Amino acid sequence: MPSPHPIPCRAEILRNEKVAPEVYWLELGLGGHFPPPYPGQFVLLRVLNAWEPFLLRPMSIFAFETSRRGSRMEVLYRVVGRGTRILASRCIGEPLDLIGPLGRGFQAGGGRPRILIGGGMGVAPLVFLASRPEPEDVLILGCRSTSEFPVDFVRERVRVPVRVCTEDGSCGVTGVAPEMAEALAAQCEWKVEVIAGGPPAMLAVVARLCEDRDVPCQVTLEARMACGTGSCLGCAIPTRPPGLYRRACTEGPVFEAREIRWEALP
Amino acid sequence: MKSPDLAVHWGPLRLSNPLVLSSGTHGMGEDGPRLFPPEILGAIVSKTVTVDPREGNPPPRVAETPCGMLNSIGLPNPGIDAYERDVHPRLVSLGVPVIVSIAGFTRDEYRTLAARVDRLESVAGIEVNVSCPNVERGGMVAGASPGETLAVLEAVTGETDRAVVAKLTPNVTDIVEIGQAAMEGGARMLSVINTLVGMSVDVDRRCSNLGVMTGGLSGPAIHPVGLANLWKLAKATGAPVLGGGGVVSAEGALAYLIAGASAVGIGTATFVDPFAPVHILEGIADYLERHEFASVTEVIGSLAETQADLSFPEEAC
Ligand SMILES: Cc1cc2nc3c(=O)[nH]c(=O)nc-3n(C[C@H](O)[C@H](O)[C@H](O)COP(=O)(O)OP(=O)(O)OC[C@H]3O[C@@H](n4cnc5c(N)ncnc54)[C@H](O)[C@@H]3O)c2cc1C
Ligand SMILES: Cc1cc2nc3c(=O)[nH]c(=O)nc-3n(C[C@H](O)[C@H](O)[C@H](O)COP(=O)(O)O)c2cc1C
Ligand code: FES
Repeated sequence: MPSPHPIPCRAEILRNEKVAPEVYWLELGLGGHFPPPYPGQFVLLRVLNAWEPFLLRPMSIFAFETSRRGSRMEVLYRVVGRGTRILASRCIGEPLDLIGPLGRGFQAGGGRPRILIGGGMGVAPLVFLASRPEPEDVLILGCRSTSEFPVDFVRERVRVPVRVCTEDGSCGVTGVAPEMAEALAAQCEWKVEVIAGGPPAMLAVVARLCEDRDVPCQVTLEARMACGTGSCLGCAIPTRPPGLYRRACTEGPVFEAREIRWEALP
Repeated sequence: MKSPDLAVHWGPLRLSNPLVLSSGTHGMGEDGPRLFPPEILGAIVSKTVTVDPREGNPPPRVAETPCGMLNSIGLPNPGIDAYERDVHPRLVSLGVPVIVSIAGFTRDEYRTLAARVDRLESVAGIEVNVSCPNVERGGMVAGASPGETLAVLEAVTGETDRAVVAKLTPNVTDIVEIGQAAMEGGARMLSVINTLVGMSVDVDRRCSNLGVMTGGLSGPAIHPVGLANLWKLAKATGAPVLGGGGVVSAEGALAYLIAGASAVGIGTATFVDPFAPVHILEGIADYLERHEFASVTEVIGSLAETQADLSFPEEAC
């Protein structure tokens, strides 16, 4: 699947709404020229139209829709530092500069039932993927607690069956996403494909499970980025064989799990 | 009124305009620059190429800083064989003069690289990177010492008649001394500045924000440093110097030209504002028209200088 050519673009903030204590739902109006992205692709957001903070913030595309009036994009983000705090303070009607769509998204699978596994904010690109579901898709959504993640909000956004697990038992099964995925995959005798997004430690566990059972597994990874377009070589992801790196913004952010040298991730 | 002439001479090179895309800020040449039309540039400098392929440093490789960024990329590149075969033709196809940046870990490697690049077609110049602060054994050593800079430049210019640029590091006590050594070694032009050594600490995790402790600072934060280095160097050596570091606007580019730069480098700005080169060129043309200059060359070196008391160094303010 050739990725669409990214463009710099001035969007309009249509919504920037708190959906959990530190989690915001951003909706952007993009006009008619924004190339339709693939699930798994991301954008770089310039949180202020200024040289400070300096770098743009990478965010997965959570939803995208084109109509006659132009395109609309959604992003689901957590406030974790200065840039996202500034983003949370931006108001409806204000302009927001961005570059996108960027990166290589999820690849079409081999027709097996798909288990999508989202850990916390890592679920964002999977929600976009699940907006074009395949018949047997299941989404596993894991997080620490409903007090810090908008479980119901996400659940209502997808058209595939959702299984929830929380570490504190505040919703669904008490436990973590890889355990739930393991049980579900075993029920299908591991004749599944896995697509996962979330913290690297969770992804490493999922990758291991899949590699042991020879199950195809795609993961979406995060890396510090400067340019987002392959120009700075900054977003290095350690891949096999040892010593090799690939760019999260260009060859990723979606990778085959077995390519990754998990022990060398920062 | 006729639109102002943007063409400049940088040593023996004639560029259609002063804006030169800096080394290492457009990938390996295979996909960057993707967001603005490359043909608007005066020239493009390749990612620094070494004799052998290099994978680069462990991540994280970039960190945000006030008005800028640190990088510890570590010179990943496919090596001179693959450069010659795959990268160079693609850069040439962009339709702008290509300057090939080289770095060796020994004088011999510089010699080898110079001879290899000399054989290539469509090479506007060779930029000798004596200044990359990222690689332990690398450029830092050469560019920090006048003697080694001289030796490296002699090694390169002994192998080629092409226009050789020495790209200098600001991480030295006296950049003028190094610039003079480079010119003595046969460089026809100079280029300043490469990144400044810097560091950033994650106080929660009490570790560096980069995978290899220190990195190179670039972006608007370094503009005043680049400008002072350029001015001193151009004034003291009379050499054709490209000035760069932190250019994000037409004003930033014009400051370098007014202070004596023959051409202007741009790099990091394009990460954040992909159309920066377009806006900068428009802004320069606009400025020339407003001030009724027919050509950009009229502003080069036009800086009004105050009487400096040279017995009183600026650091002692
Ligand atoms: C491809 C991709 C997709 C992402 N999608 C989402 C998403 O959908 N929702 C969401 O909430 N977050 C997402 N992130 C993480 C998000 O980019 C960071 O949380 C954000 O950049 C933090 O910025 P800050 O200024 O608030 O934090 P600070 O810690 O103040 O940021 C300092 C610097 O570090 C960078 N940085 C910090 N954390 C990360 C991180 N985890 N990944 C990459 N860079 C980081 C920042 O961009 C900035 O340059 C994604 C990251 C990547 C690489
Ligand atoms: C990510 C990155 C990679 C770089 N790689 C190189 C390189 O390979 N060779 C080199 O001579 N300079 C390299 N530089 C330095 C730039 O060419 C330039 O001199 C410096 O960044 C200052 O200019 P700027 O502030 O406009 O970016 C690199 C800079 C950055 C930010
Ligand atoms: S962020 Fe610059 S190469 Fe990926």
